[in-house]
Amino acid sequence: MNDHLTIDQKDRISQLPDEILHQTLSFLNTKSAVQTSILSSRWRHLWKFTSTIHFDSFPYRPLGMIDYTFVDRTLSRHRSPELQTFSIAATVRCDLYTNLVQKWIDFALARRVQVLILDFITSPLPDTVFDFPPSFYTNNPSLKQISLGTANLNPPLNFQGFSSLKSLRLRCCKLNYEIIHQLLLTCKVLESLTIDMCRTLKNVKIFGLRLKEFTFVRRPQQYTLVEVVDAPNLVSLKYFGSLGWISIRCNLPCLVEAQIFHDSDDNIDIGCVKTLLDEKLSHVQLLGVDYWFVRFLAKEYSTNGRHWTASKNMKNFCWFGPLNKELDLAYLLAFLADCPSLETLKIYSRDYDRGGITKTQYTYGLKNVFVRKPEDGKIDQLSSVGFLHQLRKVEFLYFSGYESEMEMIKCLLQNAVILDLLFLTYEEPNKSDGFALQKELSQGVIAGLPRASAHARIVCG
Amino acid sequence: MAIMYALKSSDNEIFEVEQKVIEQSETIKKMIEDGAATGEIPLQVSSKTLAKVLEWCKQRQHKTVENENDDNKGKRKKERDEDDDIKEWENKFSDELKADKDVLFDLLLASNYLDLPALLSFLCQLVADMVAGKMPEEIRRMFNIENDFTPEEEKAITAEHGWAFQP
Repeated sequence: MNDHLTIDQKDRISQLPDEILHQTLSFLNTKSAVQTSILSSRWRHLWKFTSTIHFDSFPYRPLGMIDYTFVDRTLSRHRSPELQTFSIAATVRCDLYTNLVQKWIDFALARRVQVLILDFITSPLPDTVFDFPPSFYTNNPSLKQISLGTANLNPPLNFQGFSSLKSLRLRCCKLNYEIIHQLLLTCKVLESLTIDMCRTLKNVKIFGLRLKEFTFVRRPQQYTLVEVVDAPNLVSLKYFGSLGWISIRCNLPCLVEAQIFHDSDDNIDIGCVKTLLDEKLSHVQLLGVDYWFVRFLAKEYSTNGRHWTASKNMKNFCWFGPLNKELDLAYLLAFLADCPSLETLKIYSRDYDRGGITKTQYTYGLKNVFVRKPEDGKIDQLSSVGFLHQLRKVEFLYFSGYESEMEMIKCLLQNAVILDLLFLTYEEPNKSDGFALQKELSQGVIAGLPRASAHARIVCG
Repeated sequence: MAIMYALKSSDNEIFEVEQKVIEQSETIKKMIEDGAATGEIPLQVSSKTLAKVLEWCKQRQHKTVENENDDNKGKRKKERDEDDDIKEWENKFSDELKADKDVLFDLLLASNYLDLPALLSFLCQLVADMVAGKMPEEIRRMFNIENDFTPEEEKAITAEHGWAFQP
């Protein structure tokens, strides 16, 4: 019947074997997968055999009933005997959802789910948490990855751990010292732990032979003492909290990446920070920091006047924060002069907040005059032998066009002799009048700056 | 010296390929292990499609070799740049397939037949990305799917899954 059709008009997708279409639909969220049932009779039941269940939004209204039973109806029609992923990430009404969650968890566990994501945002009471059915703590040999938001973890005393669990992420959960201790003791193959804005956690001790990644984000206004006591294989450490509240009590010989953010106005104990950087983090290849770091540098360079040697092997450096003060820039550049191995530099010229970049709080737009005359610039005097000589790639994100930002770019281009790429994205100001023109203007200025590296490309995103 | 195998396409074209490259195909790997791969290996894949398959396999092989040789931690940064290169290569590969859906479907069938899980998964993701966020009518048009439901049947399905058909 289709013989007269040219090849372009044939429905080839519907002729694919079931397994391929099941796998394809498994890459869609459940809503989109279910929608394909209307395409034609061939597609009617295909979505029922996906290896993933993925709800990424629920209807929400602050008052009256919300009908969540569509989830149950959908699940009851799903036919896969096994599930790779079961994921619900949605805003839910705190008074209506909790008794449903247990059913969903049981559904996922019965299908030997490997990745379980229950990341709820509860509203209007954000501190509502949900409990797990007892089966969660016993019937779980397939679980490899768990990510929970607003959960009340409460393992029983005889909890044996999640025997296959490699990755655990807890966001806004109700926790205490004992729960984390018990999890770390019993989950013997755990490689990655994230504790993100969790409640009621006063202190936590981190240990584990297999642990490779640890991320901690503190809850606003809450102080949690974080002690890393024994993690010989830790590769990545990310800490977003008050600098005085983290203590590394062991050596971390495998550590490659450290991101340390200080999110409060608390004074920094310079001695402690120095010990941390000198003794615990001096071998990392990637260091990410925010504003506390220039405060530290200012103290270090102005009072002790010493060169920083702990960073001599560092290959990647990330700076998070607005570069709008000349002095900050001067310290940062002085620091870069102490990083002779530096290969990549990332600058997020914005406030960085709790794992996400906040919308701009600084409303200054682009300025007309960018580049100071060379005789005004004192930055050039900082250049020393080998300064930026290994630097290959610079990413400058959220560029706003301050003089200090332009000075930074000018200095980088002038000194990085083997630079391949300067990648630049712009901060779009709230009032975008004339933004395009300003952007073009600044690009012209940057393109005209002298470059030490003949093959340096400048790309604007 | 790398061991080479000769693959014969369904239209009788011969492709000389390194063992390491073609062993990514579980089907061919089994044939080699079973000693069934002597002389030319005949495959039910057209030369046009096979060339595309091998393009993918060579790129993947390149990637794994790089990683194996990378015992020096200092190379991590370089690796990251190479990841960017691979992304770029994959984007180009995807764009070509999106432009010529017949090649895409041939490749899907070939990756299934040759048991290349990484390629199969990559292509399924590609098709899923093409489908995501589109209205049923748009999807039908894109892939020439004929709607064979009666209006009553269609109504029944939308009623059954009302939530999924709301914006």
